Amino acid sequence: MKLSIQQVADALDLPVETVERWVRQGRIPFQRQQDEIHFRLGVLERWAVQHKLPFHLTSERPDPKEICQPGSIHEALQRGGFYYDIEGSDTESVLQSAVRRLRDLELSTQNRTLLLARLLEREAMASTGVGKGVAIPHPRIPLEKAVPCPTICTFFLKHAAPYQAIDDKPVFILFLLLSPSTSAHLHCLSRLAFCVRDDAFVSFLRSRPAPETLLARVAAFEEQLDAPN
Amino acid sequence: MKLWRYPANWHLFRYDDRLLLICMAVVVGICAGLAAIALNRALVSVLGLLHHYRHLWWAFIMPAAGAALSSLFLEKIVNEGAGHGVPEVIYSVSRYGGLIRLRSSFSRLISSCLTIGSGGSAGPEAPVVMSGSAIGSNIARLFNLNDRQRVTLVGCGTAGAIGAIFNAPIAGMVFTMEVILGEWSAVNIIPIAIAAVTGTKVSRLLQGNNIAFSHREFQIALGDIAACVGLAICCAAVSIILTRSLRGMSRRVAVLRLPLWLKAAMGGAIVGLIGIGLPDVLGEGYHTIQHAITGDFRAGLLVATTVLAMKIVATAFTLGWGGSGGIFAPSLFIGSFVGLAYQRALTHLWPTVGWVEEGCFALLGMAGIISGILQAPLTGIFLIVEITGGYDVIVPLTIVAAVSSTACQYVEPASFYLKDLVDKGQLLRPGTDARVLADIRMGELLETDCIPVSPGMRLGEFIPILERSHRNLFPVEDGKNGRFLGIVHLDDVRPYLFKTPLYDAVVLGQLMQTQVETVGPDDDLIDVLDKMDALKKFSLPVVANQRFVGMISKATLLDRYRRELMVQTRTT
Repeated sequence: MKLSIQQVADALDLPVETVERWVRQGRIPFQRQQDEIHFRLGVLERWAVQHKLPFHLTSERPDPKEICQPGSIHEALQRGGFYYDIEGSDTESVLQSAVRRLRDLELSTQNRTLLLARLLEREAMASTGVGKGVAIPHPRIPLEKAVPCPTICTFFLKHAAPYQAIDDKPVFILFLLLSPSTSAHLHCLSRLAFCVRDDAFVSFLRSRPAPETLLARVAAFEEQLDAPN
Repeated sequence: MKLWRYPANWHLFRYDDRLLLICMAVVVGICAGLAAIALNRALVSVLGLLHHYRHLWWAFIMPAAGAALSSLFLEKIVNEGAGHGVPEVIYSVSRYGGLIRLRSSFSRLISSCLTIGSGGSAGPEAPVVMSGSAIGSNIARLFNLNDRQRVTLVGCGTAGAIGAIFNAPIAGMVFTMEVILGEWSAVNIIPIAIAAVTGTKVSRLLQGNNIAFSHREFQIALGDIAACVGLAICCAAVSIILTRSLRGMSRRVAVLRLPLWLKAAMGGAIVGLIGIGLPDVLGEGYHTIQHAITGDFRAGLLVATTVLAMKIVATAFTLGWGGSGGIFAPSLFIGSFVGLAYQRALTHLWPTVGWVEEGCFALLGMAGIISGILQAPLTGIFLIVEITGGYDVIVPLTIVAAVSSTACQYVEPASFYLKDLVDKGQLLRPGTDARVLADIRMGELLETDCIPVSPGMRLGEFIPILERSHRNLFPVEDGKNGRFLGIVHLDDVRPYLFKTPLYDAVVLGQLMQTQVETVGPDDDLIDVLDKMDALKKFSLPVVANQRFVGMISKATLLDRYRRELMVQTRTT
């Protein structure tokens, strides 16, 4: 396989100037054809091993696009699905029935139990009730391989339940936040918090809106966030 | 594209350039050998031509005229500096990948022929080295070889030339590795060995296989070996005197405001005057060395010491005042007389001890001076073994060479060839810190991910930029003409970061640092690092034409430095 000087520079994670200098000084194996130079992959890999240089072709690296980008939360909400009339009278029972109801996510029984345990563990540290009747339960450590992309499941409770929230108000809605990584988690959390800060949005949530209207409202918030300045 | 000019592309050489280098080494070896023979023959004929006039009273004019002509030729015709050229070759090898001008392949041959042929006290070896290296360099350039290959061919040229002029292939090879290239690597050693052998063979075909200073076998006793240590100390002392007098003379002459040719002529005239009394000191002096080795130099200790001292003076006047030539032959001459004088002094002191003949001490003295002045003990040992055609003196030879070069190193840490380079910070041996830093250019280290801001920007406008940035430094540029004004550091902003009322009240122009030390994109990395150390900074802004071009930081430098070192030295 033939490589260009730019590809080699990328693979070595060095500026092109350095590779050009190495070519001039004869420190790197290359071939010249019609005033153009190119490199052979096999030869170069051997050379890199010989000099203990890190050498990764760009395509060999995990493509950042393949890993799900944190992106927008209305997509995450869509992925998670909406559940109404969740039973329960305290944190534990609410979370139990919420996790039991999760159908859109393909979770094994084992993972379901693990998820519940992690959620309760997190609640034991401090309540995820962020006030105004909203809670954002999430596992403290991202569940590995449980979800490929950030996912938010929305649960409307049948009756508002006590949740030890910071303002001691009973919680009527849960946003269960599952993310593949901490950075994605923080990204979604900050966006969700931005929406929930708005009182109008919270009273809108109290009306138990249909998924479509809720998604449209969140999308509008996000447009506002993504707008320059 | 002419295919013949790109042999590295031929199928035969495509995957491994060792074969290519070996083939090129043969060509370079032949050319360097021919150059050496040309100078040798020219010297013989000029000396023969002028021999008839040596006894005339005005003969002292001859070295003056020769030196003046050689200086005029170098200065006016080929536009090259005086001196022997070896430091130039070493510098070109370490800094410019062995690039040497084509005219250097003959300029020093002609100038040194004029200087030495007319009677100046200098050697033809360094000019031949310069010429051989220039031939190697230009052959490499003709065939579009890269820097590493060119350096190898420069080495091949040196090895071929020394091999040919002394009829000593191993000395050529060892001299190249020890003095010119400063590294021993398998990739280099094979082509250089081949060039040394080729050069020697050319000289043997054209001149016959003559051992320069053949001699009888010596019977060396234990007492002689012990005496060698004393000889080595003497050699070291004389080497230091020779080095200092040559350099001191050059320094003093450099201050004189006279045309170069006139200075050379004055030096030459003084040498000529010395030559009237002691004709032995004139020229390269191989004839006299031969006498010293075979025991035909009959004069007593006092005369020998006088000749020795006068040779040092004559060499200093020839080379210091602008004549052209090397110090190899004078060193051999001086060495042989140090040995001779030492043996005579020993015989005086302990007449009953049966010391080995003075010829043996002359050989040892030669090795002692070469090892001392070049600080290249292996070159000294192998050169003497080869030019005298015998291994019988190898044990004392090794002792003298080792002790003399070590003793010299105590007093003069850098050898005669390298001293100028060391003084100017231009000695860049492969795999050393200075070399790695010299090779990396500033442009390769520039970090360009800084987001520029303008002095009129409000703090509120700056916050989103702060969110996007990966760095904690922000160059401030004039909005109109893009001039670099200063730096805003995150630390400068931090106290106001959470005070929302200040967002519209504070502009960056109030927060920026204006007294910022900067570096230029063409600065030497070693100076930049010194500056960082002096200022205790880990990064500095790079500014060209009053415009910010990027940051340079020690973190990136360490990463690149390490990789450069790994590429320059084999790690497996």
